[in-house]
Amino acid sequence: MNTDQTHPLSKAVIEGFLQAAASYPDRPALDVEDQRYTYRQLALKAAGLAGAIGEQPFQHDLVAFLANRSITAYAAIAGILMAGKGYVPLNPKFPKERSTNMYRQSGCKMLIVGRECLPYLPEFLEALDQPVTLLLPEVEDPDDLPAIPGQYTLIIAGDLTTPEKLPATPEVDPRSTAYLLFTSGSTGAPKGIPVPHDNLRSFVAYICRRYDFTPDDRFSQAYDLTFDPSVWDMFVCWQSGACLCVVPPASVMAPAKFIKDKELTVWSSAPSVPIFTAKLKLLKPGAFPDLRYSFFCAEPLPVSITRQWQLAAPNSIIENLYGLTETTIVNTHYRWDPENSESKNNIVPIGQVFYNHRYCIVNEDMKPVEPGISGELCLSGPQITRGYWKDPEKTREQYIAIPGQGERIWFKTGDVVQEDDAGCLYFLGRVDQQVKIRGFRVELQEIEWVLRQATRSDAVMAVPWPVKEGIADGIVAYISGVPGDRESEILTYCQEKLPDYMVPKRIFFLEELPLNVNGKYDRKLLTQQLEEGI
Amino acid sequence: MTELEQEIREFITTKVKKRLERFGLTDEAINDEFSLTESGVFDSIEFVELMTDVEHQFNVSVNFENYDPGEFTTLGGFSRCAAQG
Repeated sequence: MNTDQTHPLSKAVIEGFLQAAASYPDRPALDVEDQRYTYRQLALKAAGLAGAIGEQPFQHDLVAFLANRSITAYAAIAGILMAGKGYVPLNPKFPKERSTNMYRQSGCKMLIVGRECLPYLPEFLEALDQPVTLLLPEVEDPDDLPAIPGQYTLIIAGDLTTPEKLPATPEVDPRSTAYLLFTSGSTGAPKGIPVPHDNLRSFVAYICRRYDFTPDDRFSQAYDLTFDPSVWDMFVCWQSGACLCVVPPASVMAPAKFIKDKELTVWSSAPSVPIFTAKLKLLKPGAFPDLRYSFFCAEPLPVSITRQWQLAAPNSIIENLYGLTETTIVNTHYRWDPENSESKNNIVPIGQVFYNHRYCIVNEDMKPVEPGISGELCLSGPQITRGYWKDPEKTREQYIAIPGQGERIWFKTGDVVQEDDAGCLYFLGRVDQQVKIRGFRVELQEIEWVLRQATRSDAVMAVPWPVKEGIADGIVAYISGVPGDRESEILTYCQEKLPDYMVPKRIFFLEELPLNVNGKYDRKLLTQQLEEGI
Repeated sequence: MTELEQEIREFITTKVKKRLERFGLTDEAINDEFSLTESGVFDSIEFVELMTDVEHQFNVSVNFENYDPGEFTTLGGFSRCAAQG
């Protein structure tokens, strides 16, 4: 636990869940893998894990878990927070090298593993090659385990003690880490962003004041736990005493039947989900009459799909949300009005900044722009995190002071916006080479770094493609100085290093990459050629 | 299995094999339960393209409405849904 004495201790962010467990012990808290768990059941499972974490002789601020859309995943998150620690989610869909890099960077000593991830565990530990304490709450007999290499201490189901009553909320330094997530990094390694308890508490309080969620609500949980909007789903749901319904992996991109079958009232996803659902002819008028709220974030929201979703969910309020992991999930909201909403480039506005935050739109010289002029959005307020994980240089670049704006710290979002007369913000694009692929944040330099490693050629370029209404579906790569018969080998290397959404769909082998007038590789020309089908 | 379902299955299997070759993988795991999406062989947009290709090739209208995605994203499930229309 972080024991910086300059900050008085306060209740950990898990307080909302534990209060709901005390108020509604027999109401459903979690619906996962077609099983329901009441608040009491989930809280006691989590408390068993918290007890095991607290008994460890070598304490660390963070505990990692490797679990996916299972009871262990959610019990681990609640249990780690109940132990006064911060959680680090790992994703079995990521290449093992990426996951071990994240684990090593976090400095964790303990790993909680779900039953569904046990087949992945041997190769993970082999690649990790360091001592680890494994907590396997669903394993009854060690003989049931696959052969596990390396040095490890094992804690299994029989070693856990389930308490008889609900635990008290631990007190933590409010600036200590509630969760540590990793995003795409431009230097080839994932970039860590620690989010403190006080940031998350501020966010959850704001959201629960703004919307009238009740214990009767049934929230979707569609995002992977390595992606920060998942934090929205869990903590807002549990703060409201509602039920979190975890979308099974196969239904994530086509959830129509799940929404109907589970009678969801609150939906949250990236816009790619309704776009894909519509393409499969599953977004039908009146399909989701129970939905009260639909929230979209993580990528631009096209007007056309918003209209289609409104027809499918006629009783739902639709909001477009915007934020970053560094600014604790979401910082703006825009309520869609089918009659009166305006848009730019057929993209729904990102709307107003949370009233407890400040914003400043700046030009390239970091000077505030005149009203109505586009520029980079900078945010300041209680949800702004304090920097990147163990990366002071990158922190200094992005967490800045703006001349003439006092001593407050601003986060440079890298997003270009424009404000209208009513203070409504419109997203126009990025200042750098970061893109969103199906909602996931991707630094093109990270893909290019991997391509350079694979090819030993410096002449590589990653281009988002195809892009429709501001949303990219994938990546294509351009490479020169390498024979075309190496495509299979290069793609295999990329698969070993990158999550699937970052692996190029196609590789074009050129004699030379085109240059622009500044002598740099011409990404615009390559994109234009793709558009023209050249 | 109807003749149409068998033809659709073969059509998809050929596409899957071609994609596996690009990634240097073998086709041993291709059976009815083979997940077209979770295997990474087709991403979301390519899955939609596959649906459109099947509709054009076999002059059918694919309707997944009453099927669970866990079923219609497998080789066998997709072929069955597409053949039934």
